[in-house]
Amino acid sequence: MSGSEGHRRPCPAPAASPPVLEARALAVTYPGGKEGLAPLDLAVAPGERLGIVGESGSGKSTLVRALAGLEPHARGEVRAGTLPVLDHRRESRRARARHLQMIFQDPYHSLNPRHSVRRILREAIAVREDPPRGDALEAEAADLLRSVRLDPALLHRKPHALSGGQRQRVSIARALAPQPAVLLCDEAVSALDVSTQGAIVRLLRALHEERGVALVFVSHDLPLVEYLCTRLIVLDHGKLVESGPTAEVCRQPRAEATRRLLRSVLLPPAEPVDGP
Amino acid sequence: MPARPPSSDAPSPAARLEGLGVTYEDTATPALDGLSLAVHPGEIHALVGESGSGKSTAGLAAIGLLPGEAVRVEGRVLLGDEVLPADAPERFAPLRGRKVAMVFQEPGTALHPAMRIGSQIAEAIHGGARGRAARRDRVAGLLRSVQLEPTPRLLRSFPHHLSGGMQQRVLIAMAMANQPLLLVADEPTTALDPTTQRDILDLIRDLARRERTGVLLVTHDLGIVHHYADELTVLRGGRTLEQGRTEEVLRAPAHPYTRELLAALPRPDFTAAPVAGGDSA
Repeated sequence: MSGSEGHRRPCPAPAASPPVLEARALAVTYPGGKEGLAPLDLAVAPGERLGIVGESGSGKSTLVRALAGLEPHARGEVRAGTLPVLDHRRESRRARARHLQMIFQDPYHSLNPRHSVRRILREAIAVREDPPRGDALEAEAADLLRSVRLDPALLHRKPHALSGGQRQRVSIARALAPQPAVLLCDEAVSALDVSTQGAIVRLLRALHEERGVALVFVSHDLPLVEYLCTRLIVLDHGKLVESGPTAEVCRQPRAEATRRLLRSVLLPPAEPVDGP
Repeated sequence: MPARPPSSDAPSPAARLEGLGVTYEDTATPALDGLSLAVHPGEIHALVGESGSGKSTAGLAAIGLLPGEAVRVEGRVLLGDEVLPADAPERFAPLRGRKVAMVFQEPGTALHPAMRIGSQIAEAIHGGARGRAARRDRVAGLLRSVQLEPTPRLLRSFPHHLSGGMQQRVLIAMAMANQPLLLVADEPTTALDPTTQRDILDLIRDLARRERTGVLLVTHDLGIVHHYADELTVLRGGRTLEQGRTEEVLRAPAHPYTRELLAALPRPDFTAAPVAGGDSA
């Protein structure tokens, strides 16, 4: 493992404004002593797009779950703005939901199958400190669907009556509903068809530009991360082995794990010529 | 359909699918509609499409393993001298594991969970190796052919002791044990780590070339197709949209859908200078 020489700059974000998400000495140790994540520091600046990459078993999903407060064996400190993430009291969780939201790999299992899209969105909007009511709430739900490029006519559908891509768009709309400062995406496109994957990453990038929401995008797909993220960290066997600006890390990788990931990339030809 | 003729010096195919059509229960539209293609010895023919394209149905039809819900099945499969009606699964049964073999997406579920690796491979060998010593040598040879060292420990291990990549190697060894004419590989690396993907695909390509086996590779990934397939067929909604030599089709796709698939994912060039901005449609 290449250890610290892989770091071009300290992992805390370069920006001067206080981070929207910050981890100090964050580690995960499972009962029995197995280490899921070695202690690491990490900060995400407002509106930043950070990629987390690694092979399976590298700890990338463990890290993002710990950042979201979903990892019961996490130690250290995680702050979403001023809110402590590793505090599992009900009130803290609610406050945190206004600041930090997560999108999962499988949209089929992350939406309540018995609720309509309308109800799913209304409940997510209600998390806001001063949520709209009545007609304003209804209008807000429709607006959220439009923002993920879906027809508000789908409000009355249930998740099973949507395609995989539509379901993931609803997941994104739900995550945006509390107006969070940061969106954590755990392999959010890897279960989707190729053309849907492309549409969703382009949507995430557009939403970032429209709303200024910070993105943490976890993936094993380096080309997608390179498109979406300006900064990148690489994990290997539960350790942070490289970090830096995405373009730099992809073109001059220092850690062996990064080189392995880059070697595994199989791209189609660059540009087809016009006309048959 | 803008089909292209195969290259003129192509040898006679290892396998041929002719007019395959499959309709499942409860649906009016066929899952697969009039698919014809040839797989040449030692070559990889990719069946490309998204979910619902019919590509996995075509793979199953090629080895006579269509599920019971397939109510209307048309067409035939030619394997060497054998002509197999696609709606006669009993005709495929004696050939499976011999003239035709398959590698699936989930290696973990394709191996017997309670049988040792050595025994599973030995069971896959038909004919040839008679007697214990000859069989043991053959098993060892097959493991080496997939770059696994046939240690006593590996031979005695159970599938769950192995990584996904190792399990897939074992399955490839079993599939290739009897030098099949046709190997159907349905998304063989989708469930594996990206860094294992290349090794497994290299292995399939090299073994196919060595044994003169034709490979029908079911995939959604045009990157894989570009690097590994000699020919491809693009499917959508069960219909064949385009077919031809990979290089030609990907360089100048005739069908707009193929272009769409090629442009679907933002694909940066890792070797070029960093580009600022970019589209965000």
